[in-house]
Amino acid sequence: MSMECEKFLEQSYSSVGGQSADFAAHLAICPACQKNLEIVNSLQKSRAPLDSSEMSEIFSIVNSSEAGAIIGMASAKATTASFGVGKISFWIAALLLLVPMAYFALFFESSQSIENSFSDSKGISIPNAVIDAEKIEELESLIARFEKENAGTASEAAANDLLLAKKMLVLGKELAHTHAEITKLLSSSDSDSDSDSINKEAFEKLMNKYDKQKIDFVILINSLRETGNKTRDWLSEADFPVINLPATGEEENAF
Amino acid sequence: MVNSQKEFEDQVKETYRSLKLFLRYLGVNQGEVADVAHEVYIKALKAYKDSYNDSRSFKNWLFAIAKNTLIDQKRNRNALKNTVSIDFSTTYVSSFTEVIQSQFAMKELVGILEEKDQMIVEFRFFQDLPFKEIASLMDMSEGAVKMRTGRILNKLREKIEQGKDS
Repeated sequence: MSMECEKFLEQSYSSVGGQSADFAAHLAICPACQKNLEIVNSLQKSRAPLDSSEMSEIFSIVNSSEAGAIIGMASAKATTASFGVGKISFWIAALLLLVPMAYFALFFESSQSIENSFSDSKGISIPNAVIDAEKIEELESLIARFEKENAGTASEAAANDLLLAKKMLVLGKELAHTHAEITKLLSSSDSDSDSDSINKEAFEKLMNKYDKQKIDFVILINSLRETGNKTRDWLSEADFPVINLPATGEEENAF
Repeated sequence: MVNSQKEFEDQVKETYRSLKLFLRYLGVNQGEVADVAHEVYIKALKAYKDSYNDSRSFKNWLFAIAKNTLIDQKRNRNALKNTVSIDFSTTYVSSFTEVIQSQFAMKELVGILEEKDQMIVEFRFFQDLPFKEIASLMDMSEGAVKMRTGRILNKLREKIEQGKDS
């Protein structure tokens, strides 16, 4: 490559700013630059399109950002700060692990299983879940005990952990509540076929609410994965389910 | 500029593969690349909203954040060196399709380049990053990146010429 060619290297293959008249003049008489341009064009044309696994990962990123990256970041910050001390108490671990487990339990105890995983976004049928009040009570009791045990320590790390655990509990409860509302609506629509159109609207509204809550919950759990600690390992072992909105047409089938 | 969710989505689509390659280049294990990339996008989006300086593009933010995230994790800039994954070429080359009846196989052609050269190709020809930014991301001088890009093109051109002769 000559000095003259090097002079134009920056603008030769750039889509930003266009090409100068000097470069155009040089290109017209320089076979090496013409050949280089041809190589770059071939490279760009030969690029394989994104495959399904890449598209699925992108979908997950975009969904996370859409659902409120700020929540995730705030939680991640709190978690990172708290785990920075390098020591996780048993109760912290229990809280952080049990809340998602309770969430799983709420849905896996249903009469129909949730078949979809995070990477499969085809939608689900709504299970007739039985809300396990004992699980929620168990968590509340754990949090109360943790609060009591750490009352005198005034540890910032413990406070952050507690905050995160509480947030997960609140979100878990909200999810369970919305889920119960959907179940109730579905059973009422079975017995009253005249109110289908009204119920359908209510159903869609509830499903949207449910989906938003679910994404918030997933973001919170994902923020734990950023800590790189033991909790992350435990969570990554669990095959965490994400419940998607029914695909087009399934709403009708549900009624 | 990332002013809307749609623009963010477009940026992710455009940069996702490059970011993963860069993370691999910096030594992130294949199994962790997707998780780290996810973290980097969320960080970049937040940083962009909080402290965007219009002298930099979102892409520049993104790759710089990826690098800084790994530096933070390793607590040592030098730890990033000598961690280039040995199968990076394979990873990179697999993103090219075999063009039948083409006068040369692009996959094979790119495969002759060193890992660092492949990363430069990615940043320059696919992400359109300026030499200055590539230099900063790859801990090289701007002149060195320019010179290397010239050599990459020469190498590819020679390889094609050889292919024609044989």
